[in-house]
Amino acid sequence: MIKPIYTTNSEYIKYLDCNPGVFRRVGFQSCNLDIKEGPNVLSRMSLCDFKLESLGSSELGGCGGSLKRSFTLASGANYTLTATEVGQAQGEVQLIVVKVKYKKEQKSEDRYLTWEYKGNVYVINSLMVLSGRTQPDIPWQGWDLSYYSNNPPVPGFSPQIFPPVTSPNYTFGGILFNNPGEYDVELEILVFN
Amino acid sequence: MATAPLICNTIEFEGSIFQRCNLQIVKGTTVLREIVLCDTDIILNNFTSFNGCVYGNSSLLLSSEGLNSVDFVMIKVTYPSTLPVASRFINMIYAGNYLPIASLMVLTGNGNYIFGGWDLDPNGSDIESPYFEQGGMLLYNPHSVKVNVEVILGEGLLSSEITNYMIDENGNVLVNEDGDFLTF
Repeated sequence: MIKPIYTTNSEYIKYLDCNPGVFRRVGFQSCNLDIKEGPNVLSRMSLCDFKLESLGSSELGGCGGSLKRSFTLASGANYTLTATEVGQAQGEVQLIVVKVKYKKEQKSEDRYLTWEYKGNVYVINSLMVLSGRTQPDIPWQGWDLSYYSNNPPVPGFSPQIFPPVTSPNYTFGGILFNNPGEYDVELEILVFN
Repeated sequence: MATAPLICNTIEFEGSIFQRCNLQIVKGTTVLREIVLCDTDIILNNFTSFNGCVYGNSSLLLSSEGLNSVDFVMIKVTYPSTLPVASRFINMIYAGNYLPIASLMVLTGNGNYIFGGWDLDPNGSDIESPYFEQGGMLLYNPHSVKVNVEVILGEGLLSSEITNYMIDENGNVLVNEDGDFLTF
């Protein structure tokens, strides 16, 4: 039997989630990824030895680079990630990191985006790290961030409009993000090759 | 007699590393770009973690046993130093698709939605095959030498565990006079 509700005053709230020990949380501590329950580390994966060499370094002899983008993806909107400027000859890159920040008002169970790659749709909640290997002049084992179209854009001075993409194709590069939620989200993306 | 100056003929590393909880793109000692991961806070319910190896030309099927949904996947791969740099990759086969992994993959999802998580158990069949269109996840090592893998699979909190409390118009959780949560 539920007793009468008196108030939401904090002095009556005994069990609010102020104790991080209530949940198991994944976070980065130093260069480790820890799963913690309160002060106890339940599992740890060290990333201190993580090292991915740029394709542009002299040893590998290709063209490498990096870029970072930070922007708002509106509710119901799409964003196509391409990075031909840092990819190898066919547009492949070695590392993609995506962080998503949601508004406080958005319920945790509603927090997700979809991303489409090579005609397949996947999900992301708050973090994604994708890595691969590239070679200078041939498609290898990288992530294809060439144009999301069979018709790469022509130079800016052309009157031709970038053709709208209506049917994702396996041969397309790029990653198409979609925000199906009610709220805008903040995206931070790092691409490296 | 003066000592000749010490010359350290080090090769300047250009690439990506973790520096504390930041993932940085560096060239020598110069940080070109970085993304801060210190604010990562992913809540899990249950999880499983293991480390082992995948033998050459073999594959490892990831099992979601004990997890209702898989909302967090982390895979770290390390290679023998004898393997050429260009060959330091494996493949994750998911829903019949080959995806590359060099040294790290982190995936997150939301199991509150159908197809919102990463499906390691297609159609609830208990037959975990990566060739199901609906899911299944497998690590495939295409090389002749073994590689070491570390894996974490986590189940996020389902909404019933965290959102079935009654709230007022301001979003505050309501409690009774004893301070106990009121639930639907």
